[in-house]
Amino acid sequence: MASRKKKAVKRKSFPIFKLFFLMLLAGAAALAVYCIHLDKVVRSQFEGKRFALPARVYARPLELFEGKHLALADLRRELDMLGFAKVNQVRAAGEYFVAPDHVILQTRPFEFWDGAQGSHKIRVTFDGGIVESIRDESNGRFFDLFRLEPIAIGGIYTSNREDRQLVRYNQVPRHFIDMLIAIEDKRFYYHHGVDPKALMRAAVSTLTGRGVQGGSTITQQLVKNFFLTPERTFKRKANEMLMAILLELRYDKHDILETYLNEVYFGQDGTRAIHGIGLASQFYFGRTVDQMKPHHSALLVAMLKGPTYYNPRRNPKRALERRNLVLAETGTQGYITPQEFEQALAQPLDVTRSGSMGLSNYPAFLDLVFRQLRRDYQEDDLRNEGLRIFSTLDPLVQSAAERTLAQQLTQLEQRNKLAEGWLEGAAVISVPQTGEVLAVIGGRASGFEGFNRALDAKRPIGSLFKPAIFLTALERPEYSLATLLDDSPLQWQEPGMKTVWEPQNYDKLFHGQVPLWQSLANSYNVSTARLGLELGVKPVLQTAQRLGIEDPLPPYAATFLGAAELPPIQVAQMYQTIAAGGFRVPLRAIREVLTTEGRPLKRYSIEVQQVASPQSVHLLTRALQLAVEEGTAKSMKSILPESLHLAGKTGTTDGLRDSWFAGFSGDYVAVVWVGNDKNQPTGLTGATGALPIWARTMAQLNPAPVRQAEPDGITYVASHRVAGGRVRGSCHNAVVLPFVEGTVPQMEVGCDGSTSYSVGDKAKKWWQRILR
Amino acid sequence: MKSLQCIILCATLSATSGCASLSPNYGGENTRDAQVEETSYGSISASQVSSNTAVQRLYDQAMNYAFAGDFDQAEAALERGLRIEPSNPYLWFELARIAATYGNVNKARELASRAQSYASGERQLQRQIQRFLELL
Repeated sequence: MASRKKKAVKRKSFPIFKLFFLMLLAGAAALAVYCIHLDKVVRSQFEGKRFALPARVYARPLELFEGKHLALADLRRELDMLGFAKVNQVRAAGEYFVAPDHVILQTRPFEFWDGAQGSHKIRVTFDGGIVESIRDESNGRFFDLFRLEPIAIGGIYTSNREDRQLVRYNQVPRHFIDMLIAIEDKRFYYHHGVDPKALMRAAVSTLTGRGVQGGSTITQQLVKNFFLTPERTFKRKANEMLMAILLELRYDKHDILETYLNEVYFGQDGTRAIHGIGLASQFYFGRTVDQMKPHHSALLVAMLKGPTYYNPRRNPKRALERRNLVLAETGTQGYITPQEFEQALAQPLDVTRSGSMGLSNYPAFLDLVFRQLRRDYQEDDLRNEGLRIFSTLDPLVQSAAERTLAQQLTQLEQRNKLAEGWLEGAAVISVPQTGEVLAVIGGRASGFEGFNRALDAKRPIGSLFKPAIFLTALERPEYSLATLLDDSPLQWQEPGMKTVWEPQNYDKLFHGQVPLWQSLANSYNVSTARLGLELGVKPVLQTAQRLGIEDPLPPYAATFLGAAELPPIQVAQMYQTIAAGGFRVPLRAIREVLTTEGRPLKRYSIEVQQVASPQSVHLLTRALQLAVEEGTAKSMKSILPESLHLAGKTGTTDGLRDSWFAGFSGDYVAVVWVGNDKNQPTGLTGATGALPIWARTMAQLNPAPVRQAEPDGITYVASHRVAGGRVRGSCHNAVVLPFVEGTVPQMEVGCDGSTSYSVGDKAKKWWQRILR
Repeated sequence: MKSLQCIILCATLSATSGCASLSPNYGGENTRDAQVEETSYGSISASQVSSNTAVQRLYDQAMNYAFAGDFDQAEAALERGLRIEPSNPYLWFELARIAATYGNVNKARELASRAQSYASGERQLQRQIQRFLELL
């Protein structure tokens, strides 16, 4: 009975036990499977590409050499943009000292395309606006050439705009690690991912209503940032703990700490999220990680609790209080000596004025860099692979142009009684000989991303097109600068079209017979249109394409007078070719690309292609110089000296909607557009709108004169301003013009323009008379 | 034809640059007091190329790289020189020679024409460029 009873009990209890056991087993199996899954997630994220590394774009490095035109103030501006600190005595990299005639600075180490450059303390001495010498302060030797590190101008980001600069564990100062552990996770080196003591404490404080406490270890924090969403649920917390334990099983403390240091969030720079201690030390202190002092470390550790709430730039008082709390706690735990504590406590916050590594400072230029990169790289690689891109941007030129454009537009609005913000503008500045783009301005609010007018605004280019017509003519032996063109009324009916085209001059007058150069310099539409028709639409459009216009041009005569709608960057390419004497050099915004490890990946070398004869471009340039000397651009004289012999062309479109100026000095080609986004009339001509912006920008760049090498086979002859023929002796109506040999005018005129004949012609006429 | 011109260029390179220091010098690292070895390449010496010591330095660097077969770095140094003196015909001509050495005849021709356009008044260089263009 007893045994039966026993049996019965057994029989009764067995299934329950079995069920329980099976359930336990199943639970354990499920947990195991889940753990394997989590482990896979952890491993793939941790070992694969841990971080999205945006491509980092740099400006050109500033080259210093004896005799360089550079004002001391410009060097200071450059150093400020680099985030250097102005001090009374230079003791560390990233600091500079200014005297009236020299600057002492210590560079940071930097990896250039062609090799690494260490930190140097140098003295740059100036003589007026010229660099007199560059001396190594450590040994008194002089440098022939020295380049500063380039300014980081931004990155190409993933959609969440995460930015970081990777650091290795051994680059991070000991005091930072100590403070981090003292504040965030005291038992970091002893726990296995989860700290039960801290957890209990957190649970107690949560349950007793003393507020929700974290209790998370550094490992848990990393897991949270890395794999999970920020919601607070039990499931998420459980996941977090499991993953933290898995992470600790797989990796050692150094690996985990290093990843944490690169992941952790330190606040915002506009839309950019600052991640990792490497970028944070740059962003807040203008220092590399290894240059951080204990008081810097304490501030960054203090910020971990709430990067926005404790932002040292916006809430300095709050940040300082918490920093000192961090220092005190670290002192109490014995990580720093009382002396170190006192020293650090006495320091100010020591943050730089602004982040000023500004991705956002040059969005229009970055846009151009990005587009050129897209030809060679996948977008994904640009956003993740941490490529280092060396661009051609000259921040000094860019900022001068930005400032000028914004100021001038405001002035133009005031003077012309236009509403504030009515006018918009765009500009492109480059180097004639090498095609390097120095500045791109996409609008008057240049620091903001938005419609990039320099690259994307397609507007009628007006008279800026005309050089293509005149060059086509000057390439033919039957034309010279003195050839007389007919500026009398013209009617033209395009084949197959009903409307009759009747071009008008801006002054609504007709000018009769005018020398070719006058027609261009004064921008006479009628004679230019007639010349274009003589030459033919096709050859003229071909010339425009040779010069660098890429967009298809309407094959009608109206294109002669600038009906074609083009973005400023294409106009810049066209004038680039003219400024470079007929050699087309594709505009480049990138010099070199390096991998994230610093291995050279690609160089964008100079390409040139001769697309027009140097002789004909020489003549065209002379006509464009005459436009500045006495033509439509003569107001330039009030801003820039005539000795620069600048060449350029104004452009105005129907109803005064677009105001253009394109031109060049010996060392800069620049195009400026001014107009209204809704394409409404602005009341501005090329000379009243774009020209002053062009000229005032140029005036700040200390431009070199246009000194075009005289090609072989060119002779200079005094020509009559109105009649076009040769003039003998001194005459106020004469202008000295270059002629290709064989095209020098035979006709000789008196100073009053009356026709006489050359000796040869006189002899010929005499013989003709005899023979008759 | 192409291989012939490569041989000629390489021969000139190796014959005339034998004395040059092969270790590349870098912007930051070198000082004027460090002994400057005048590298000749063809028959051109750095002091002929420019009166600007920075340009001379870069020219020498470029020639050292070219001699060592590192044409990418040689080009980079020459372009760095062109940023200081953008109309220097010698620098343009060296770029042309490098392009020819790695077999890009079209590029070499364009670069040499560019050099020629800046070489007015430099008789010897003009003749050299002319000869180079004829050989291409």
